[in-house]
Amino acid sequence: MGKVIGIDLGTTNSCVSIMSGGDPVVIANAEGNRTTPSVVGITDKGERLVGQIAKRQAITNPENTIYSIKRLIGRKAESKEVREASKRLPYKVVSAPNGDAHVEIRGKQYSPAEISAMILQKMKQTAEDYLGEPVTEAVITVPAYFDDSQRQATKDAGQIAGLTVLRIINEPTAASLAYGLDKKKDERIAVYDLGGGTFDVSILEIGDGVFEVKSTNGDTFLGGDDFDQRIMDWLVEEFKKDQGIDLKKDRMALQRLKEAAERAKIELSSSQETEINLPFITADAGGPKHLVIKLTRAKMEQLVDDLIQRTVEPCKKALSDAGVTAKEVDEVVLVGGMTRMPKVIQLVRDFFGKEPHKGVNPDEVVAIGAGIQGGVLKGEVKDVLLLDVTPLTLGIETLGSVFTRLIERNTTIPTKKSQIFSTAADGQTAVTINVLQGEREMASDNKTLGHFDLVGLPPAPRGMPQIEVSFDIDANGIVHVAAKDMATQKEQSIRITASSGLNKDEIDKMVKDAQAHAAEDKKKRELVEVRNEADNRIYGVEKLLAEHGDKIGEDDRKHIQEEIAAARKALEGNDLAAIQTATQNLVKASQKIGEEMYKRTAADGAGTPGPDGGGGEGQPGNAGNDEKVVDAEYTEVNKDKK
Amino acid sequence: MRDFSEKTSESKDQEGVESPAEVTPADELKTAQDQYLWLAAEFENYKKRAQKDQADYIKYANERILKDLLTVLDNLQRALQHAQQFDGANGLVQGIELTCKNYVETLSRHGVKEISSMGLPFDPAVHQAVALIEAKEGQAPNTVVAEHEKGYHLHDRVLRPAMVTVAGPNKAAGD
Repeated sequence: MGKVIGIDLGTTNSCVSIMSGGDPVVIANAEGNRTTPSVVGITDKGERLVGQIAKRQAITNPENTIYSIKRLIGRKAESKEVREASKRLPYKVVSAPNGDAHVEIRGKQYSPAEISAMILQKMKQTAEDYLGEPVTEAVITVPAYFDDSQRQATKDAGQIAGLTVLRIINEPTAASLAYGLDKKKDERIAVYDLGGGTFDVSILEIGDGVFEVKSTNGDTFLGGDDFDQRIMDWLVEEFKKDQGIDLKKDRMALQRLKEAAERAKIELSSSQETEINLPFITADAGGPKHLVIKLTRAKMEQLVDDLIQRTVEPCKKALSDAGVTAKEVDEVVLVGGMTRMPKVIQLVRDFFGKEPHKGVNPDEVVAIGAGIQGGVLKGEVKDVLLLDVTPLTLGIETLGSVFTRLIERNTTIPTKKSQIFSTAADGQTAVTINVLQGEREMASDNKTLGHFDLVGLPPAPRGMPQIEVSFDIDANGIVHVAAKDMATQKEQSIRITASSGLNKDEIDKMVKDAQAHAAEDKKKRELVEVRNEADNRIYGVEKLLAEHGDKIGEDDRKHIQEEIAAARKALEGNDLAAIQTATQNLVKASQKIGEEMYKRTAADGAGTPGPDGGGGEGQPGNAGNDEKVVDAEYTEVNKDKK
Repeated sequence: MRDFSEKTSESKDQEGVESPAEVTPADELKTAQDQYLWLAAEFENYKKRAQKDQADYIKYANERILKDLLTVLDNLQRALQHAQQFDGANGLVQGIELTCKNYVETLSRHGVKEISSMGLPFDPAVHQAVALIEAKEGQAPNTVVAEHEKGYHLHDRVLRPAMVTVAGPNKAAGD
């Protein structure tokens, strides 16, 4: 099944996206850019250049470099819009026999659809390079005000590019889709789109997942480039005042100024002040000249204020055409790179009286929406298994009433996880598995989902048996918990249906509780861990002493026994530091046994383990092997009943 | 001026409406199987893409910072140019020259390579034309006759094109 790509075929820039793994992804072109200039150039050799490359050669080849073709597509050569546009375009706009506006390049006529097709082809190629497979189907966006012939011409462009255009959708609709507004019921949405070269505002109504465009308005010659130009003009003026040199005559200086102006504009979206620093911008008889000018956000906003204000009138008209007031608009969506500017956001907020939706990359939202629409048409969005996540962590209770996590919250289900546990006492023949759900550190603070016993374990020293506990959650949220003794292959399990879990309020409460009690819980858990550690040490040393006590001197043995007693005493209390100190002293004392044993066994080289390698080792696997025996032993010890 | 409203119903998948006829368990199984296979394949592809993305990401992770650092190098080079023009060679200028060299070497260790341009045919893949002048005697048409800022490659990508002046096309041979 082939992929459907979503293309935002823009006036100045184009962008392509695709559904990948259930999420829309914007694809970067071969040059590593996520948007591609909508520019096509034809060289003297008849070679076609598209995108950044075409833009770079524009100055050497102005009559044969076509940009803003979107202003001409599907329009008559005699129309007001085309005449207006062609005044600003350096290439030749001609009338085709049927009256359509065409462009003439090197004596050959091209329809705007053909030029647009070259851009679409580049977008198609970008997607194919990324996917590693051919792409044949696409969703393409157009402005909401495009009429039938403009839509048809856009569709034709897709066909020429080798794409089956599954649907032409409106740009504001695509933007709304990108923000998931199709799921809303009966709402009014305003889409404010201030891009590189044009401004559009649309009022949409949504009901039942169907978007209806109620009105559109805008300014076809207003965009980010105008803002850059304002800053540039100001810089030139300031420099002239300061140094008496007009930079307008210096091509290279202008190029550097343009880049600096754009960078300053972007920087001032996040900071209050920026310094434009262009050393060696020019030189005169007196030597090199540097441009160093501070620009504050306030100053910049003042420079472009009238540009921003120009968007207000179209917004008002769009509202009145739709027959609604600003108050009646439920959602406002920002599109286009210029909507990153705080002043623009503020204007929109003030005008509509609500916080607008804004993403990280407002210049990509239209393409993302087109990609989502492509996914919907392909059934990918609709039919993909709705993958759920576990709302809370699942785990079991282990020694000291600690909650040991097996499946963390927010894990996508279905999922399966297992871990090996062991016993807490010598000769323990049964364990109780207490299945819990929650975020707290201690078992008692979480919710018990169920419990069961695994009995008939062969008697063994504590820590020896290996019991595999596995959690298995299916797509319906049903949890199977099984415990299996690796030695006897005995198994016991429990099935917990979703209903025995928690409802949403309870979940929220538990998550909040966990956050509120995080510090206190951590302390409790630490204490348990330290206690467990101490307990294990005592057990280990006692065992060692019983087996090898004869190999050390009376004094040493006595000393160790004292330390054991001290540790036991410390364990009676709840003083974390005291338990830790006692444990350390015990370990230190017990090392004597190891030393003696090594001395004795050095000769025959037998690897009798020292205290730290053997039974005295921490909680896990005191058999000293490197199996994946993980901390925590069971709390409940069922005495031999078998 | 445009202010007409138009109804376009979108985002509804009209074709996808299934009649609730009998769905046998076999059908269900088949759908589920299809879905599973499709998802599994999608996941495999996703993994491959993710790997490629990550490799690319690592390779070009420094792209932005390197690009920004180029402007510092530009200014260092501009300083040198002026110094050579006005003061000639002295100890300080030599020192800055060496620093500059050091800088270029450091960048090249990170995969940044200079793009050559002077005297070469204009190539928009690596050159950005900022000015067009008439070709003088002995200048071939459509060649780079001045370089205002050096261009650089980062591995296989153009980190920044060279800013150049291009000699105009030969009028006789042109359009």
